[in-house]
Amino acid sequence: MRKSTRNEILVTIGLTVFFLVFLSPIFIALFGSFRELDDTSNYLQLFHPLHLESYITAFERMNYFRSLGNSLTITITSVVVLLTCCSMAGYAIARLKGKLGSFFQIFFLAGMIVSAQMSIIPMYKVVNGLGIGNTIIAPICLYVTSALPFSIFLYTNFIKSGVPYSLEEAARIDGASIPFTFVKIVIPLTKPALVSLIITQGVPIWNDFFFGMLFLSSPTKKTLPLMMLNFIGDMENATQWNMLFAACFLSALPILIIYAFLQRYFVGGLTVGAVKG
Amino acid sequence: MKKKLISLLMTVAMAGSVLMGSSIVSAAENAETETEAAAEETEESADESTGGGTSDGLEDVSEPVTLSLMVTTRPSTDAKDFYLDWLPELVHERFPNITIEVEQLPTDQYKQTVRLRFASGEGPDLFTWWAKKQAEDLVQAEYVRDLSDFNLLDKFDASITSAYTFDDKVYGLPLGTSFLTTWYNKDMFAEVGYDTYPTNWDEFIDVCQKLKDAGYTPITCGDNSSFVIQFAMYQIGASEIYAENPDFDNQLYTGETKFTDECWVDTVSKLQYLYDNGYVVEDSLGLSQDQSRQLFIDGEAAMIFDGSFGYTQLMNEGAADFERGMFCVPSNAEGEDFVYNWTSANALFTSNLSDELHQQACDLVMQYWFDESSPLFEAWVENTTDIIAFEGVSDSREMINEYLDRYKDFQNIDNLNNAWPEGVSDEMCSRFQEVITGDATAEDVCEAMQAKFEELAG
Amino acid sequence: MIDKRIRNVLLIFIIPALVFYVVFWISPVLMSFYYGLTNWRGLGTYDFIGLTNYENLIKQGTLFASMGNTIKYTLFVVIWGNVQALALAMILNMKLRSRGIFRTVFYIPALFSTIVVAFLWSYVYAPHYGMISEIFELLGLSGAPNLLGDRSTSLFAAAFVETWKTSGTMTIIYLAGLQNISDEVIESAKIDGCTGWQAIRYVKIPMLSNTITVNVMLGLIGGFKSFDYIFALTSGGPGDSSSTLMYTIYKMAFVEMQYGKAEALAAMAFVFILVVSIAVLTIMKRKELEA
Repeated sequence: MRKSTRNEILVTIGLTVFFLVFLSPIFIALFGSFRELDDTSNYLQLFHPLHLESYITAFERMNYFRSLGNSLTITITSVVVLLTCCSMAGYAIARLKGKLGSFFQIFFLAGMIVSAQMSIIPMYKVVNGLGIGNTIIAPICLYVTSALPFSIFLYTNFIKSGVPYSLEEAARIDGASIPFTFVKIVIPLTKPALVSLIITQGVPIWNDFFFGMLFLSSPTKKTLPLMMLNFIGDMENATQWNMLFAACFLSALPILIIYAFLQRYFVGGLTVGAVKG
Repeated sequence: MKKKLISLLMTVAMAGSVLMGSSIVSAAENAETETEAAAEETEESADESTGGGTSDGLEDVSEPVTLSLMVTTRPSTDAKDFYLDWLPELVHERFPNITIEVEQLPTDQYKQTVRLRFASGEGPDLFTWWAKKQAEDLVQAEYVRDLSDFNLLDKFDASITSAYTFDDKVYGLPLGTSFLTTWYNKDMFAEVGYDTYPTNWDEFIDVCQKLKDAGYTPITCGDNSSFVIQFAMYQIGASEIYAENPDFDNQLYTGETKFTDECWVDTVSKLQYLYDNGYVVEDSLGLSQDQSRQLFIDGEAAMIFDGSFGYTQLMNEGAADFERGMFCVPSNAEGEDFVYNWTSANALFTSNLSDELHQQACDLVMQYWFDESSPLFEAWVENTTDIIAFEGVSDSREMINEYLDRYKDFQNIDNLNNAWPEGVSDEMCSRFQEVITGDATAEDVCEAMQAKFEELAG
Repeated sequence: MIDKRIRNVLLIFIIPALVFYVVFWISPVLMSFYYGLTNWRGLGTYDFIGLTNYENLIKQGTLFASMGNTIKYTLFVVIWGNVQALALAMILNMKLRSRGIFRTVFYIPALFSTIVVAFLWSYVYAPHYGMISEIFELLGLSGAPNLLGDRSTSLFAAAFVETWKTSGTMTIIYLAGLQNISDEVIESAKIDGCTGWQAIRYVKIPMLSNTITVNVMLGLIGGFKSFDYIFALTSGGPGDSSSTLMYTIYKMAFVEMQYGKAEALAAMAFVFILVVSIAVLTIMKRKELEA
């Protein structure tokens, strides 16, 4: 018993040191965000008097609450639609017998390879053709679509390895329909996969500015990362780093909080018993 | 569990305090802007009573219309910005039916987005764009409107307007000019015996050597941001290429001249010479433009190749306190002709794809904007970071006026890449990075540029 | 009979995803392939020029020139990314009292936007007052490496940042996979006389093989599509030493305005990456069965 306590302390210390080094670049940003606006001296000199100027200016320039609302709407809608589509399709692909299943798996997998950058002009034409240009529907559809290939791939894999077919068969013999077994048996068993999809796909959607930049031209519809883009300079205008850092923390804070709540779903034992079936 | 709760609570509390603090401040600021707006209004009515403005008789459009305006990223400060704040506010005040929605993006993303929107049939109603070759594509595709009939056109400096003229038609209203230049630390120069700036190549090399001998780093370059290589190259190229042949660029297209000509090889070689002799900061390829600028204002290097657009950044206070000066690199031999860089920065364009009502509204905005007696004009002159090229307006920055006045009798040349297809300058910068690492020669750079030029100009 | 009905229901399940996928992904890609047969500049009008773009690209050897860097980058991301994430996931899966905090902390890099991450790392790598060179100075060493400014290291310096940023995502996927391995299996392995390391090597890793496949594919395709960190940290330089396939395509399409040609290159790249991915996937699946 004593030995394991000592081990735990050692591991904890080791991990703390590791993360201090691992996350050291983040500290640069954190301390930078508390500097005065035009203090651009060496960012490795961490300790300066604390100023909230950057946060206040960033907060106003970003129109924080409006952009936060837009970000939440777009991200949540995208993730909900994505999970619905990908879990249904992923389940079907895992359970389809013969060539059809592997065909769809490759068919969707091929989508991962396409970089959105490359087909952006045609995408723009499709969006305009559907009459959803400059509405939040446009980025939502593209977020869902671009996340689909990987999500389906991950979900299919998870079902194949983690959900025993015998459970479903037993249910079917009892007279349960496929939609019923899907909702009542498969979904609960795949919770870890679904939560990891919410996080791994939701966070990039939250952070993305590419689709938003192209499809949302009205300032009133812009999300937090899009507003952050305003602080980035170019070869003539210098980037306002301190404000950008502050903006970055302001924009990351909501998901950090959401994430802190979601991570407990990874604590073991949530599903293991059922899977062993 | 408890710990987590505490850390969460702390996060929330921190966020809360940040939010509250700022809302108080923003309330105070709102009050401030309101009084400002009120002051502006009285000023405006005073203007109207005296009359004389060309925009006084203009009538609002018949129904509400929303104009989209796109600009490259504005420096964000807590002060009001011309494009983001003044323009939409003042226009809406004067023409209640016109609402302007402003969108700003960093240059790379800006170019991509504007072109993309036009290519799919809906560009911004008003937007800013660059000169000559860069605008040619938009003009040829008939995306932008011919502004030759704009009645205030002759107020703009004709030599600048010509950068936006294609087939004798003017497509853009020049918003200002800028120049590439070398910023230098006057105190360091004085220390090595230079009370003034160099006026020929030998003097320039001499001052570099003396600075180096005195233990200073003569020049800093942020070569990791490869585009900064242009700043040095175009200054050297100005005298080296155009003193003898001002028509060099046009002749590139007829094949009479080539990038592999001696003058270009010499230009690249001269820049290479600065690196080979240790005048440029060590490991420059790992430095970004921002970091390089910081070295200069911290007094770690005596010179930086930059531009008039770097004014705000480079005048910032750094670790060292010193007097700044500017000069254009004199690549000419003593007694030979000197040429300096001075270029049109960008211009206002309007979309050809907008419907009649939107075009009408755009016209009203432009009439109002460039009417010398309008408050909008005043706000523009006060807030722009470019050097305005408009009749009767001079820049408020003494250093810039002194610079342009000092060189006004010499020939000047645009930013060199204004005459090339986009992509040639990138090729130049990439290949020159290889010169810095010792993997290529000046001739290689010139040959690669010529090859890229032929590929893209054809 | 029953099987057929089941199949039909399953096919209906695929429809929503299929609609999104075909409308917003497949059709634009097919249109892009068409542009690859034209001389479009991304603006104005264009002509159909058949396979000329492909001929030119093959003649100039563009695909293979930028392929080398892409493959190096991808290998680094796949190997280092997976080693790092697997180790992290196993440690974070241990029963520590403080693991709640660590499980929040490790994901922080993923929460930041690419642009900010790139900037932060430029301060880690910078000569003169960058973090690495300061540490060298502190230790009294000279000759701190100029990682971004050196032709032999700039590509890997950018790839390292990518693995730093994606470590959170990969680790989460491993963590989810580890949930499916019950403690009993490990315990019984230990009773059978396995050391801790042997339990990992012969019990955990084989049981994770499915998850490893997912993460290898994630790294593989992420590496092949690498663009952001090259764009922000090195602009493909010094010279072309860190220019990857996607960066080359981007430059061709949006800087040099050879949109048609860029789409032709993209199509060639697509076929290449698809073949490699399917090959890797098949091999991984076979390994899974063996394990």
